[in-house]
Amino acid sequence: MKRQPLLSRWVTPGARLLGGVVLALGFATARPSVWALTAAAFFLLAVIQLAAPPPRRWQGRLAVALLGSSVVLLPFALGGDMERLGQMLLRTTTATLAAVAMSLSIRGTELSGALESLRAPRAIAQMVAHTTAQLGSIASEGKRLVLARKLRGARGTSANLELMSSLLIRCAERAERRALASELRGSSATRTARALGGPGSALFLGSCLVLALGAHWMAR
Amino acid sequence: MHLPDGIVSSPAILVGAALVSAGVVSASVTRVAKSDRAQQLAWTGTLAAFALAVQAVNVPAAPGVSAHALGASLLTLLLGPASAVLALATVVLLQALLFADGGVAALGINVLNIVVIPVAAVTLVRGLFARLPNGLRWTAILGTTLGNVVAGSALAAILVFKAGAPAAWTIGTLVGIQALAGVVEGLLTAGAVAKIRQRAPRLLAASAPGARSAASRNVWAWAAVCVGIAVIAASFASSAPDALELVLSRAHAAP
Repeated sequence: MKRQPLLSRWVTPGARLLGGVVLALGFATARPSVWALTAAAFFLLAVIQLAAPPPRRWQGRLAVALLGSSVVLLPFALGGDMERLGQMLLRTTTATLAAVAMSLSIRGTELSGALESLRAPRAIAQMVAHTTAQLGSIASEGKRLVLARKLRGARGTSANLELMSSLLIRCAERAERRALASELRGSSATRTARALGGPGSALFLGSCLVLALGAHWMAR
Repeated sequence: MHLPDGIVSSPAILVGAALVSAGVVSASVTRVAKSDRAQQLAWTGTLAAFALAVQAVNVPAAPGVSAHALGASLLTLLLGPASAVLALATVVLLQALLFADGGVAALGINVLNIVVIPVAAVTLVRGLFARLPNGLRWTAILGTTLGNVVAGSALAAILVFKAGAPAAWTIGTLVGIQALAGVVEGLLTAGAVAKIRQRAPRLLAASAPGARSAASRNVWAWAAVCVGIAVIAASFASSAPDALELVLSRAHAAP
């Protein structure tokens, strides 16, 4: 049987989420510095080691996030203020590395439980649970419908609208059946909230807090 | 449209946007919690997942620039404004936490631009066109375009005033691309809503006549939200010259 990654075993989802948010906020609001960039890169490497995400997942996520943040910098590059651009690039890269580390530390299925353990509004935690549960169903139904459309040889805007509405109706019906079944079984859409505690969680939260404060202190 | 962390560092704008967004989202949560039915939540979750998938697909809009649909008009027309705000806010939250798409510190700004402004625009237009024939179609097209243009302008204003981006290029690109994307998304939304209305009318509970009059009554509440946002945004406006003015003044000052 495959063992869970170290981070999942030692740190609760709530602590991982809180630590990641603290770190992302810390790096995003600190003055740009090479020290902060190094610390964010170090944290990302540590998360990759401890959470052991598939290489394609973290490489893809990192590439997309870095590309997205550099596209926003395009107006600054065209403005010609290279000093400002350099500082912005340093800060956005640092914040992006921290954000990617946070996103790799928690899985979609754990997020609603993590939010509940952080006392987020129940409606939001429920909505997160429903949305993440529905993503897979939308992907599989979408593939099926696209294949059926190809086999029928249907093309054009009307066929696309037909596909979109069919996809929504089918997924909604499937979600309704699932929600009703789980309601009849007496189970909730969200998982039981786990406490934040544990030495592993405390160590993780402490490390995130120290790094976030350190980014501000070193950049003074 | 997703602003990453590190671009805007002004605490006033980050905290101000977060407060306005949190206020609107918590009002929606309170409203949705009153009609907490498993089926409604399942339908809202389906549409949120659909919006998440749609926002992940970037379509080339101009050379070197791409755009993506927001899904705000589809969700507002199918769910009503309160559930649409909850669903879209969940989407933006998931994008930030799970996909590192859009910043955590900039979450308030992103919720304001991607959720609150587009939903408010569609609700306002819906109130105006509710009694007209083909009102839903016009609402989809005009509401989406208006929402995209206002959201694009708001983001451009933040980038220009609080991050020092060059005004002409930023406003022209953001507003132009968003307007174009809004028209295309509006047309697609109108078609999709018509198809769903035809095939599964029960899913369009929010578009029922009773709900529609409720939506019309909410127009003034949403208008108040928009005015509130504008007032708060105006109070953060900088008296310093913008980037373009700065560039021009430097150009004049140069020998």
